[in-house]
Amino acid sequence: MKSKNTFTKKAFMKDYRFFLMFAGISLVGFLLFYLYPIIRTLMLSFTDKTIYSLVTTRLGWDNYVYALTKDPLFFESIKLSLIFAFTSGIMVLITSLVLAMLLNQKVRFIGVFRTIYFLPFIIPSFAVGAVYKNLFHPTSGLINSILSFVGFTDLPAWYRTPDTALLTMILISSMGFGVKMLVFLAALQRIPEDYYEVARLEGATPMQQFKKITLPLITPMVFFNIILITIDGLKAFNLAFVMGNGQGFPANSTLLFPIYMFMTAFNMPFRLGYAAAMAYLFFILILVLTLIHFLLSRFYVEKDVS
Amino acid sequence: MRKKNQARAWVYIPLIFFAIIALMPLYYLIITAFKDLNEASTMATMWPKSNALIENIRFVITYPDYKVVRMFFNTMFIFALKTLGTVLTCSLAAWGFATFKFPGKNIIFFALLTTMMIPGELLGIPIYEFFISTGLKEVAYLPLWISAWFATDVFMIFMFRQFFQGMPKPLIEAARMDGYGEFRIFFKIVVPLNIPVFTTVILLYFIGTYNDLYGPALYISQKQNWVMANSISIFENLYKSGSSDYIVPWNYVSVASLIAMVPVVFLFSFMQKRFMESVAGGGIKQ
Repeated sequence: MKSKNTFTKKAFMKDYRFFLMFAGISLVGFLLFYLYPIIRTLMLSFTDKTIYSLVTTRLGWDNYVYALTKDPLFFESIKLSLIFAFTSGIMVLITSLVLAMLLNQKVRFIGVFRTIYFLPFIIPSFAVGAVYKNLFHPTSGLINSILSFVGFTDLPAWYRTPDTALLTMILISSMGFGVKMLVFLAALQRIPEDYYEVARLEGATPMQQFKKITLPLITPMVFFNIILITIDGLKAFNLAFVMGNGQGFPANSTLLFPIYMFMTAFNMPFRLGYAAAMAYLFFILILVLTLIHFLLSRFYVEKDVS
Repeated sequence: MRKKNQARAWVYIPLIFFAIIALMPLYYLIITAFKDLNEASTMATMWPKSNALIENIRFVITYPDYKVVRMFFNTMFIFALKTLGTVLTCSLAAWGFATFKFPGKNIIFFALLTTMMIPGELLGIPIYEFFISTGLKEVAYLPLWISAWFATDVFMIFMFRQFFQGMPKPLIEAARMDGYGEFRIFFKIVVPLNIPVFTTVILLYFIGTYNDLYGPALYISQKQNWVMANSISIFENLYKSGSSDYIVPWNYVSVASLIAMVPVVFLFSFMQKRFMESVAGGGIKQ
């Protein structure tokens, strides 16, 4: 008995050494690029550190108190990020599911449509903002010229006024369905055709088929896509950076949290300490939201699938 | 039977409707490239009245700040170092997690996985601080690729591990019997048998690096270091003045956008199938 124990211990030691040779670098990476920044950010959040300051003073909880009580832009940017993530998330979820179901139809030329639907994805995301700015431009954009052609007189100024700038961004990001559409399509294609045959024989309407067969079978993908979309929405940077000229233009109406953080930490006067405190508050918020989503998912994700 | 065909014909209405929406940006991008400066910046014509494509292209590629070849190679430099680092270190780490057994391994793996939940905002500040204070901020794009060499892309470790776990155990055992060393097993057997996952990672990294605006906005300030992501804003802000109502030369912006699309279109047309699979793959594997 004892000899067997030492034998397995020896084998473990050998495996352990090999493991370190292969995966050791990832542990170093974990320490350098995750653990150190997390601790350092926490320490910074209690100081008034700026990038070029020679002396930094410890402030205690001042940064946190300031963000929560005296900085309207902090709340504004969090609010905008949540509105953006939530509404654009729902739009993307619906459009990607609808498009995936359309593409799952067995009709002619479906391959052509599949390619067309994926085309917006090949426009580099740093160019997407510029392209849509052109389309939505109040005087020289296609959207408004179509609207006036159809008969609208009171044309919106889209991203040029604070009232509609966020809405414009939400509409644009609703076009970002490419990846999620494919995830849904892959899930739909794995549903056996027999299920629908049987349902049709029993006289189920298309709506009933959708509710009783399709939806329950793709809930794991809905869960996965919601996570993807929420994370995408909360960390949306590229579009807001291009649309808002890097500073939430116009009048902070597109100042999503990542943009506000970027401005605070990495523009003059480089307030690293305060940005660190905001980052921690944001992290806590994301943690709470994720937790709520995991708890809610118990109610809608079917366990017996896959 | 006839009823069924009728029902199917209805499908084309939404299909075509969404196709128009999906094609509109691309269509407008192309026709705007044909317009002259006056038409592009003041009128929303659905079909170009002027034909200034050649002049537009000439203006864009001869514009002093727009060194597109250099920007492209700068992007490729970052892409190459970042991808090489990730492919090498993450696949090695994933094999380490997939094949060796010792107590506590799963706890380590779980600890690594939790890092995927941490938002980038929480990690960026100390890293930025480090590169500023050491003066390495703009040395060979160090901040944009160095972390890739420490297997920090945990999602990729996860993905490689999923594939490696499907490797037949007897094959590995047989190789060990034949006196293959662990690294030789990895490079001579594991890597050749998992080429698809390696190409997937390379594809995802190409798109990721090419589209990244955050990294360049943060770490690139000198003109000669600009990457493709910087190429559009040059023309967007060409006539920028103090007031918010400046003219934007959409014709030049469109030409620059179309040029930026060339490498992606190239990649996409050659590897369309692989591309779609790889993009959807991340979700399916979950």
